[in-house]
Amino acid sequence: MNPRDLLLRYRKDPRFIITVPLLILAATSLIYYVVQRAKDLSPEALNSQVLLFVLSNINLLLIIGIVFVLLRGIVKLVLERKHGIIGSRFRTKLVVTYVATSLLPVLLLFLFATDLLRVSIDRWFNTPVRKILQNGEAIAEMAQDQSASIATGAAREIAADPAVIDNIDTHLLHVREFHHVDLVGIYRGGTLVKAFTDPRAPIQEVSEPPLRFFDEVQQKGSATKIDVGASGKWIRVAARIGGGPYAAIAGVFIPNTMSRMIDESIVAHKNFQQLDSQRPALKASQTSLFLAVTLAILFGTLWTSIYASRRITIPIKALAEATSTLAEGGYGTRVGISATDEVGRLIESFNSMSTQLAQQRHALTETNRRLDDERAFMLTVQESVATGIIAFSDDLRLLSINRAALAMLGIEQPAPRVDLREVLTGDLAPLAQALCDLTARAPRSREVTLIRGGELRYLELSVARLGAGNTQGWVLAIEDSTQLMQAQKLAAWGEAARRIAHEIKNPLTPIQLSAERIAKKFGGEHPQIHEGCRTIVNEVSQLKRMVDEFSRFARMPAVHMQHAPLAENLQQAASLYRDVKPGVSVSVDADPEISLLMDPEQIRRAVGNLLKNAVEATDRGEIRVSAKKNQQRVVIEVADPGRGVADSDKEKLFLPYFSTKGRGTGLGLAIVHRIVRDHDGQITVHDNSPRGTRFQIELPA
Amino acid sequence: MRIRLVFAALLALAVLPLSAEPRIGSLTATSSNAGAVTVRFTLADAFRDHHTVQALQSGLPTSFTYVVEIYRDRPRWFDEGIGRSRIEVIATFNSLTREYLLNYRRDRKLVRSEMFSDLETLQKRMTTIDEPSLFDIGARRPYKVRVRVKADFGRGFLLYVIPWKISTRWKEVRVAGTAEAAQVR
Repeated sequence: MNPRDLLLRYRKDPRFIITVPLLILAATSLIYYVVQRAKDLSPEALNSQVLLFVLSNINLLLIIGIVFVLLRGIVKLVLERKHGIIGSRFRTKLVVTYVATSLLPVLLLFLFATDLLRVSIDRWFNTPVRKILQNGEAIAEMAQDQSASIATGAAREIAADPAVIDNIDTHLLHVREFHHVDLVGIYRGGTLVKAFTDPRAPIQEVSEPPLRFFDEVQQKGSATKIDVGASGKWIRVAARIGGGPYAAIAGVFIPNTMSRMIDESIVAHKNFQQLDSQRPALKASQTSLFLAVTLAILFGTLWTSIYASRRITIPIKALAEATSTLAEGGYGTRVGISATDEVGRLIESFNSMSTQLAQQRHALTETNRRLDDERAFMLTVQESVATGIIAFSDDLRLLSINRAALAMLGIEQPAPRVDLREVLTGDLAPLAQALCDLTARAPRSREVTLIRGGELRYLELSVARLGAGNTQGWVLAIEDSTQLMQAQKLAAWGEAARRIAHEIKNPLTPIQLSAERIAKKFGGEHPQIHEGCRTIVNEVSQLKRMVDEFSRFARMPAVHMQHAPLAENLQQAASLYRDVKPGVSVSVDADPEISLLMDPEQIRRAVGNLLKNAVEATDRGEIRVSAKKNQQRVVIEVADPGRGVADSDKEKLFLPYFSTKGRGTGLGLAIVHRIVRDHDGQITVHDNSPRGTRFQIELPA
Repeated sequence: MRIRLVFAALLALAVLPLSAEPRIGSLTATSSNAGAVTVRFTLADAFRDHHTVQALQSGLPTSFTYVVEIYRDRPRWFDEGIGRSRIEVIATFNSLTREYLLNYRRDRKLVRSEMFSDLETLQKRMTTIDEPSLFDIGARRPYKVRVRVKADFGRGFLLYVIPWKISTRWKEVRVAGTAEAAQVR
């Protein structure tokens, strides 16, 4: 794994983030410690360009690091604030506070401390030590110069006598004794000619003077050479002898006991001078070192502050985002970040609250779903029952109405909370009045008769108080007892007809026979009697025919249901009434595909009765018979352009013995009604357009 | 008149410190027929600052670094660099033997070491450079070739922290041919 991958892997690791600044601090502290311990280092080391180079580069790297971290943090904060990321403002405040509280004190401390450091360094070199060292060196050099002057005196005395070459030994020994020097000698062009030394002075510890030394002697007349040996220091002075190649040399040996003190004094002052000369470099190195420590602290502080602000704001940001999610309906949202402080407790509370909300919402949803199911069930029941159900408030405002009620009343779906008194108008006005009465006082049920669409309707109403929940009002149940009532009436009329026929028919035959006998016996003599008897016989025959009709009506045969084509039956029924009346035609328009479960004979009879009435009511025009299938119903219509039926007669049209023709039994439409009812059908009468009457028979398909 | 005097005084004050600063002087560059270029120059006022002498006398290694460049002058275009040489003279004083050690390095290689017991001779030796055949310009015409020299003679610190070299200004001269050099002599 390369370093970049390692960095990417560990850069968000808290241990890594904390360790790096600590390592930088430790490294800086180590450098500082080493330099502090480097008191014994030479001035060259302190003034080392390498040290300054290293410190400068460390400072540069730290400055770049600080600028990078700072700029990166600022840019990220600006972008986060621009994009409206939650927690960015809080984080900005934290970072600004951290930086302000760390940057300013550290910078002020750095400025004051470095100034103090420079002043202190300057003060080191303004102490009496300088004078002491200077005087010490001067004394040491004076001591050394004194030896050098003795040697110079001896060398010059040797060189002063050009004849010394001729008597070297004597002269050299004399000078050595006289000047108390440790070395006397003669050199020729750098080569030793003769020399005498004190046996106690170890001349062998130092090397022969180099040629350039003698060159200098030749050029300047004299030269001095100082050499340091193991036992002490040699000061040798050479002087040119005349203008030739010879040079006289004299030397003084300073033993270690003395030369060491001289050297130490000289070296001490020189070291002090070196330090003084390096004062700017010393200040620079110390200031650089202090700057490195300061920058390391700043870097660590900055890094830590940004990291700490992030650590603080991450849970808050997550909490804010989760709150926003929760507000938008995300119940059960949890904050997945753990924290051990107060924010952690806040997160735990939030998670607990969110969980409880989710559970409560789940329970609420379940309850609502159950209620919806129950409501749907009730609606289904309400819609499927044949009983009309209307719920309304105390002030007669509609709460609900089922399909059966709409069908019974023949109205469209009203608007919610509409006043029922505005809906139940016209033919339905008695119903509105009944509602007022039923809700006002007992009894809570009654029967209402309505004429709706020209048809008489018997409705049984009963109300019950609604007391559930906040809803106050009433429930109205409507039972359509029209068919029941009609059936009861028909049954009553049938029974009555049967009894009347029985009671009337029995005496009619004797009456007829008696009238015929009277006419036979007295009719020839008395035309009036004959006429009277004939009238009696005719009327009795009429009565008998009428009684037969009653009997037939009372004894309607049972239907024999079978599948049969409807169009064919209609054609057969219509064929009986074609060309019966001049100017009146009959047409049939029936779908030949319609096949119906019916009693064909009864249906032909019912349609025939309707056609018979239509032909009688029509003076000129076309009577149309049609049949079509409409969903689960087959609708047969007989429409004529005749005189039509008055609205007042429509309610009684299907009752037995009701006739608008002034003749006949009035049983035709009653029979039709009975046949249709026996087929579980329904017959209604309407005004034809533009005139006439239209009978509509609906049969189950 | 008074204003002129004030200006003159200010100008003198401004010029005086400049005149005390080290500078390259007596720069000559001569080319032989074979194209070898000899460079001679001096560093004036190098030891005028007593701090320099004090540092040298204290035993600190004191050095001057001369940077010598030779290039072909191309008007209105970039100059063509031909060669560059770096000459260092480093003097160290032994306070015990009272001798000065002078190391002479060219292009980071030690050329020679010398011992001096005389400060004046040492200073002259450090500030007088005579480098025969320092560069080879080949067949280039000498009058189109120029030599420039600067000396790094110290170190300063910007804001007490940032080290930077203290250098003289560049001094440059046109390379003289053999005949021209003879006339000069």
